[in-house]
Amino acid sequence: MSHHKVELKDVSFSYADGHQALDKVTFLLGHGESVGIVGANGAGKSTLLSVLTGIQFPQQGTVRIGDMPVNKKTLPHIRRSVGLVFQEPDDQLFMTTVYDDVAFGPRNYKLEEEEVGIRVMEALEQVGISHLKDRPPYKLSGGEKRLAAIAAVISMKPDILIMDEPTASLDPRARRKIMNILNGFSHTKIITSHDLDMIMDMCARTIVLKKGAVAADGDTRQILSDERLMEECGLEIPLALQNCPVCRSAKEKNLDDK
Amino acid sequence: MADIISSVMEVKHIDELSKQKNLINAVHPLAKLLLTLVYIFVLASFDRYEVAGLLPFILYPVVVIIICDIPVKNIFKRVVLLEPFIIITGILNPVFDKSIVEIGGVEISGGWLTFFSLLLRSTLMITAGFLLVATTGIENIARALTLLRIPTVFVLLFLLTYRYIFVLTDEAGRLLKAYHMRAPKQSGVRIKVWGSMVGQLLIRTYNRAQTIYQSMILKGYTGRYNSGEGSGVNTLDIIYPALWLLFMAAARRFNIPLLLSGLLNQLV
Repeated sequence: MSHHKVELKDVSFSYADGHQALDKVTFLLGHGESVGIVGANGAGKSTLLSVLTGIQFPQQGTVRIGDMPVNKKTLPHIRRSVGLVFQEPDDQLFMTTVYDDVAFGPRNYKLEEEEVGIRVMEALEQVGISHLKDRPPYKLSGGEKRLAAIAAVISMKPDILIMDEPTASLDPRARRKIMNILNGFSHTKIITSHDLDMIMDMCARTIVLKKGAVAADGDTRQILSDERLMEECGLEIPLALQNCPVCRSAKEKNLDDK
Repeated sequence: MADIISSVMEVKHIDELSKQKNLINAVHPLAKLLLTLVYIFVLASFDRYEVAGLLPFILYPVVVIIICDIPVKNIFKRVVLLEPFIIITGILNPVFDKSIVEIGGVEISGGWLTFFSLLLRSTLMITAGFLLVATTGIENIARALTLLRIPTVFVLLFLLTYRYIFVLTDEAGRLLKAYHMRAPKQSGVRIKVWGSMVGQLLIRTYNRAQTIYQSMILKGYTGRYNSGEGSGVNTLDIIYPALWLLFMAAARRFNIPLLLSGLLNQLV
């Protein structure tokens, strides 16, 4: 299943104003891997997502999705196999009903309307919001919007799912629901977030970005519990790994359970 | 300002009325779109001094409102909101047009007559537009525009404008709220701040437009809008517009109120 592979080799990207957003980023993700990308604000997470989806092309280095390099020629194929869920669902849900939004991708690939219908309903059922199909997106709650945005991407049956802050500004229950749904997907997942507890729950591997470069890449629990590394990269260790605020005892039990 | 924002936000509720099941909502969107365009065109074709001849055209919105059970208040509120713009357009007519027109032996200022004619016509046209949205829905109107071979870019612009006008009004509302929280004693926004506020809104709009476009191309958009299959044509789609077209042709050809008053005079 090499088409689920994501490979970046010495990728560097600078904006027109000279700001270097990515500095020789190299990593390889295998099929079915779930990887968290963390870093302080301005560390290069959003630029990395743009480069992965071909919204921007790096000045140096290569990006390969599956066996294909990401370039202008291969973009239609790349975008079919990579699905990006935006941080702000309002940017992604631009049609007047949830159904039309979820159908937008499949229709662009000229699928028969019957097949489009099947895909839309499948995607909506997967995220549990088939009852909202005729609702206008602006009337949905934050959590429902997020689910609709995920459905709009999985209706295109991507191999790789990229999510930008999937749990940002959600209430605890909606956050948990999204996490459970995403955990149920077998896609290769790349998740950027500041919600380190969510990353710990969902990703076995984590890549830490610092000023556009990879500061660490490895086992999530090891990386996120490394207080010095987190401090250096402008982050904090996740709440679940911090000492108890009342008795100050370490959460060893919690770590062992995971 | 807050009132205008909340009024714009309320427009979206009109569109939801089109989901109800009734005779007119079931008519093909293209038939209703064309009918509305003809209605507007016929109203525009009347002479500038005509008022009586326009009166039968009130029947169209009245019938649609009754059949579709549309809350009159909903439509009325939105029409009233646009009324000041029409008044501004026509208010100088009585000043510039000093001619005297005689109607049924009564002398009336031509300027005021053109003003009332403009007011009546524009109100009917706006009402017809709102009723088209209330009975057809924005997506179906877009579908009808596609059938009319309107370039896909315009159709998509139409849909996106409708979708994002609320998000942008929201954004403007937030800006205003933030301003008033820090300027509690001012009733409006100071003219000095207008420039940067509008600029902010423009930049935010531009950024959002870029992100939306990225989201569209990531979902395979290549410049062609695929609206999916529409419904087929049935008898109702022919009969409904045909009846209205007949009525409009008759009302345009004959001045029905004058004929009726003449008939009444003869009877008396």
